[in-house]
Amino acid sequence: MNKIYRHGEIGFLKVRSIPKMEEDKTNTIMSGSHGHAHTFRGGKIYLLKEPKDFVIGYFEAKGTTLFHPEHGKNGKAKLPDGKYEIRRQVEYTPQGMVVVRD
Amino acid sequence: MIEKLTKKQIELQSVVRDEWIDIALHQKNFDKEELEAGVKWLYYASDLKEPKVVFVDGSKDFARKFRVSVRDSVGASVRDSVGASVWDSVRASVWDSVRASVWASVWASVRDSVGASVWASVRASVRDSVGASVWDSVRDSVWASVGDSVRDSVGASVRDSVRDTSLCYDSDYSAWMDYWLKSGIYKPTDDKLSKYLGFLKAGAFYTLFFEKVAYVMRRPTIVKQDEQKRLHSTTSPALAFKDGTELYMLHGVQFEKSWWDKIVNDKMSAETVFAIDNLEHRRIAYEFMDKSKMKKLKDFTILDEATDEKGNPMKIVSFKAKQVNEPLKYYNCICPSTGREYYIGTDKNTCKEAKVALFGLKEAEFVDEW
Repeated sequence: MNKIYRHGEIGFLKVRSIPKMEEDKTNTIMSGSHGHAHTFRGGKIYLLKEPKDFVIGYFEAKGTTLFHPEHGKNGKAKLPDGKYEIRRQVEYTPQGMVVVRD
Repeated sequence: MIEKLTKKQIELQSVVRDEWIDIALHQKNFDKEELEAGVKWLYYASDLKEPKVVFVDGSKDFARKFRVSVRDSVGASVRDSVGASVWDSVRASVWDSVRASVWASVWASVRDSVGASVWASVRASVRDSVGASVWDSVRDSVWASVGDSVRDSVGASVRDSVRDTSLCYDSDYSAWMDYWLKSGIYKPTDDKLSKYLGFLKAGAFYTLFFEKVAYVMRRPTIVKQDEQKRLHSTTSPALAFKDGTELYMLHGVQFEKSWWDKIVNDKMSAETVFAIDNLEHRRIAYEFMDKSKMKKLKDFTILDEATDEKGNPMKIVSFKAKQVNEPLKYYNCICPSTGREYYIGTDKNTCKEAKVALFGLKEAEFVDEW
């Protein structure tokens, strides 16, 4: 079964491998709509340029701490080492799917 | 090496903490003479030419004055020079000196009881809202008057010019540095730190540093927070400035005034609340809504109830809305970190399906959630 770690509106889905992509030199995974961003320390991030629907990129966790003032203990959460697909929450509406941002 | 703080030094922690929260958010002083001298000292210490100092009454006033100045060129941002020469150097000096003379546990206790509280009250609560307001005002006012070719560079320059050197950004570190100074544990070898703290205490609420002009924003006229120190008011703007800039906020979430008014006075039907497209706005509106309104939703039904992996209740609720043929369905859940209650649109009938479908999956085990 798929194993997923949820950090607010972001999900880290465990995968065996990730596509070959250029690493992004940023520590921001996703910005929220109210000034707070999901950031990290430790690990490598590979973000899709134009994400569609759910998958926004990939992550290789190594000694990774996730940061967001509203998620985790004192705004911090430890993501176990491994390879992940980064997924965002998408809400169903009768008019279509809408990306969730908190 | 200091292994333990004295009773007096421990008592000083809350004194300094409260003093800096008061300086940042509640005092009214705005000493133009001292602020102008402080800015000029910052530029001098950073080996920069003396700038013109412009005082602004809020975000809108900044945007207006900045738009006029753009024609004469305010020059590039110099925040990094100021930061490297003053902010970084005073912090590093205190840091190195204190780290060498106190045990890690003492260090951590001061960080937690002084810096963290001020951070929560000021930086985490106010900084981003002020920054966003400045940015919005510049975008609305300045962007209309400049051509496409310079728009991006103007925008980048404004964003890049905001320096940590202001009460909005640096009250927490300043409280922390002031504590070591006042406790006598940090003994400075020059007057850089006291000059810097003096500049902030003169009322440097928000500062933007350019090559030729430095803008110093006046303190807000209203700052209201909830018990968790988030900007919040149900009776007035949570943050307001002399120039008419007003931010209406509920538990740290900003609203247009008309929406804020409808929410705090519970003027919306449950159907309207559920139709709000922004999830955080919907959450706050639901929180303020009289829950008996839920019974008025047409064909309101609870389709499924369950408990999530963290022991929190989940529900799928359904009701009929005007102009939509199929019943609307919402997945009702609790955030494990904040305890906040959300209603998120779904086309699923069970909580389990709805939770994984939010991430585009048919099945998954949630190993951990924050």
